[in-house]
Amino acid sequence: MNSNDQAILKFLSSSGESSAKRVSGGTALSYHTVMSLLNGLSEKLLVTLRKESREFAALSEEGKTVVEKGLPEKRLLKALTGKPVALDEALKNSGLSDVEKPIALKWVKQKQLAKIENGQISCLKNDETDVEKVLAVLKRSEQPKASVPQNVLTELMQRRLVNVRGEKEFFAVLTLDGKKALEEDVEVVGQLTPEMLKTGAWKGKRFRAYDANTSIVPVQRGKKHPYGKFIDNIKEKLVGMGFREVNGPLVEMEFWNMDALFMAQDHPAREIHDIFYLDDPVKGELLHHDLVNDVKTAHEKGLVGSKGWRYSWSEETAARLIARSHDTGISARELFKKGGETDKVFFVAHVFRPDEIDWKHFIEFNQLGGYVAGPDINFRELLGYLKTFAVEVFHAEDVKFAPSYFPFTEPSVELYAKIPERGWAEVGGAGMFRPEMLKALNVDVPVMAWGLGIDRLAMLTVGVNDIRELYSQNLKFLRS
Amino acid sequence: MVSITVSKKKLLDLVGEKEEAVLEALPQVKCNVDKEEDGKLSLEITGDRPDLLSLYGVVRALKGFFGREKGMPKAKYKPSGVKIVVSPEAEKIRPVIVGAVVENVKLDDGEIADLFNTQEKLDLTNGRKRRKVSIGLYDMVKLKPPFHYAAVDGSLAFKPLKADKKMTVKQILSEHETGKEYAHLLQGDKYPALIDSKKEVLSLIPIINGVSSSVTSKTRKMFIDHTGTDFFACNASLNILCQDFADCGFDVKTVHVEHPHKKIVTPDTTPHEMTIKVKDAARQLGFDIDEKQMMDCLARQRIDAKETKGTLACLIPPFRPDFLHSVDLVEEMALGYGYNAIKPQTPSLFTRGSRSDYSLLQEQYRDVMTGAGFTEVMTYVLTSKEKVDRALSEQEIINIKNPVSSDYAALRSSLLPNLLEVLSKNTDTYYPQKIFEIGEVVVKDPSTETKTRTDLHLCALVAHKDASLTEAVSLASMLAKTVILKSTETRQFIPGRAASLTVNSVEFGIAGEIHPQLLENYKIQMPVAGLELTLRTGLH
Repeated sequence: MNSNDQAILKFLSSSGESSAKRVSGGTALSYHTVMSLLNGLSEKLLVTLRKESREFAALSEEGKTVVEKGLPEKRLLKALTGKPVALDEALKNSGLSDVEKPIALKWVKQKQLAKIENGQISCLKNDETDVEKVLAVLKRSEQPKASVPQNVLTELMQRRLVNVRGEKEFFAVLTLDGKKALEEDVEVVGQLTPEMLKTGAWKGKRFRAYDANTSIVPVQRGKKHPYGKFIDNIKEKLVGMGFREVNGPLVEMEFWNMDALFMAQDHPAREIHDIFYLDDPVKGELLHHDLVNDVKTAHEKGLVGSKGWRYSWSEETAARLIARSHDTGISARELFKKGGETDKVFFVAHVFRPDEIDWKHFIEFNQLGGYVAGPDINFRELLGYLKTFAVEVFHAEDVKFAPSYFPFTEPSVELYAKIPERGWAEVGGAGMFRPEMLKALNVDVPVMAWGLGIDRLAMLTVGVNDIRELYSQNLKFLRS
Repeated sequence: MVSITVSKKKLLDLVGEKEEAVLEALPQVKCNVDKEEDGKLSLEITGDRPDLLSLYGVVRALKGFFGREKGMPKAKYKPSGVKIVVSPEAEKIRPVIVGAVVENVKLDDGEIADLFNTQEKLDLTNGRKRRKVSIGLYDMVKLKPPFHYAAVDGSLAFKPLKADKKMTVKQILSEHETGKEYAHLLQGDKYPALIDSKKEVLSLIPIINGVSSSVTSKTRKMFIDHTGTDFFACNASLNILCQDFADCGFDVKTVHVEHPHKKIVTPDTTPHEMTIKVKDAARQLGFDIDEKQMMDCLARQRIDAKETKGTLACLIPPFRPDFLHSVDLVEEMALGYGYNAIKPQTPSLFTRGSRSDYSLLQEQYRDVMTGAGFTEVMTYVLTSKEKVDRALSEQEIINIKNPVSSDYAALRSSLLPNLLEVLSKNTDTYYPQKIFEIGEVVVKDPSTETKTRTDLHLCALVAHKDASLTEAVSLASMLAKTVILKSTETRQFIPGRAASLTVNSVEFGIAGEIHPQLLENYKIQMPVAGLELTLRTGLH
């Protein structure tokens, strides 16, 4: 620690809180030097600096003159008695200058010191006023502004008899660290820096103690979306059961979404749910001409001994573009790609349906779907897979099956699961893909398929009561 | 799903079982109980069972389920002596017509209402909104057969139902409520009509009946006609109604239909024949079941079956049009057995599971972003022109033709508008805010079969007082190792403060500081910087 710093700290140690002026006086250092050093010591938290602003009121040049001669209105009153006198006379006798005369009259009237009537003036009161009292005090020396009554000060300033001067003074007091530094004659530093390490300047210094009362600012961490995590979890479960994941496009042709699934174009069951049609583009392009022909035959006349739907199948209708309304089109595409391979496939698909919007329905939602293809696949095993899904994915305590109908499966079945905290709920549908569908896709093994709704379960897991909150835009919630 | 309403009391009386058992059995025969109100059960029937669209249809199925009546109901209808004569012109327009007569009819008003309801539902589903099949019901008391199915011109006039005066055919098609609804089914200037021998118009087919033959609680003798384009569907529907009436205890009788080149008797009650090998059925079912059990299951589903040398020859009732292939028999067996009586088989097929590359890519980037301290958000794929315009986006979106609301009328082609919206909704929670979304967007692409492409985008935004292009570019370089920047300009970013991102000479994204005008649009009072990248074009 340098000697000047030490001198200041020593002075403060013995004098307690002192103004910079006093410190300057006590250490024989200039005011400027003291101020500069105090700032440095304050940054090192060895002293605490406090600023005080004070204001002083003092007589102006004019105020000094007035104090000698007396206030103009008082000079006017001097010549008066209780009896009215001609105003002109009184003014002449007062000795006031031409400039002072109107001032005197103004204040005499304002303060009601005299009565002026019909050109005559008579005195009303002539005691020493507050203003005079203050002027008398100020004559001796300037005074703190706060000691002057506000109304008097206002008048004096208005009459330009008094000026107000501002003054700053700094007060310094030793801190605990400062005391310690003095005792140990050691400098305290705040933060270790690379410089200090390079130069070794950290040696012989003390580090400022950490204040345990500082409020803690938590680290902002990244966070995955709870609904996204939920879907992740489900995917991991399916992978764990030996299923491979596939994906499909959000925009599909009716062909893959319905026709290839043996859903008749004129069947009201094609409207097992409503569909969003694209405005532009409107139509896609049907590739795979053999497949298209087989599908056409399946619908119109039947395949593999089926009677078919017996109507006129339209390629144009099949080429219409829609936002996919269920996930089963993905199965059709994948089966067509893979043929009759033994395969366990799953997907979590985002699907779209025009529907009423309420707490448990939204027009876009996710389905967990898939299929199992293999020579030994049968209905009983389908029920086995459904039960497994109910237990593994939905934590079901019990399952129930009910008959159902889908144009693309036979037998068809509906899965009900007894879910903790929810009771019995319909979880999804499933079935064995129809031979007409499989034949057209060139698949010659039995295939079981299912589609389960996961959003209701997501709501339970994520902890929301409205399906729309799965896509919550509330950062407080997402960050918590 | 189609719904019908039946009286609970009548249902229980006819079936003859306890309420609890019946309510539990209904879903097992494809009738889901939707709700119960004022002693009426609202049932949802699956789309493959038009024969269940009436009280008697449900009863028929339940009687089989409980074993009270097994096998195909024996329909033996005597001839009524009524004839329909078909003109060649009518045959050309709407080729199929079948009919039946029902005697000793006694229906109260409630039952008439139910009958019309069933007729309407059959027209709608099996009849494909009357195009394939349309049903007519008539009180015969004022009618004189033979009935003529002829092609008439637009000037023929009669008083139709739901009208207070005579109308010509042309007027009906253009002014009558039902006429307008179904006028699209008739083209040309000749219209099929059913007229009796006294020139009384029974019906303008398939539009509306004449008022003179309307069915009421006074009707004792009824004539039913079905017209359409598909004989099988028409005949099946006629058989459904006839079986219902027979179950009621009424006398159902056949009708002669004389076409120009053929004569038929309707309803044709010949059962549909279908065979299946016992082994095949057992294999498809997957559990132990012998042919005797199979035949019993089928019998409970009102299907007759006889086994010969390992093959079941089955007779399907004429009121079941839903059998296309022998798999339909397999489902009937499972239904007769009871789905919940089958012990589910634990899956045993061993295969190796895997995530798709596409999906793993998403995970990878999610991990990187959360590792960098970003909060993940998920927003809807459906968006609107307003949302996209508000974000000054220059990307074309794909519109939906039939949206349910203007807020969700298009498919998103970028994520930035959605993320700006998230920031605008969170101006009262602490900054810095660092958010990201990895999600699918749809863009036009004439080179694909769907003329569109589903791309995977990543969008990240930071909002804090020092948000800058530098930070956005740093982020980009964290996500892609060698990124080349090129100054670029869009309305969304501050001019001079945006850069396009290129990797391997492919432009894959944009980074920049969001334009304050845009922030003002969103009422975000904090600088925002960010980027949007295309992680994958197409799914593969």
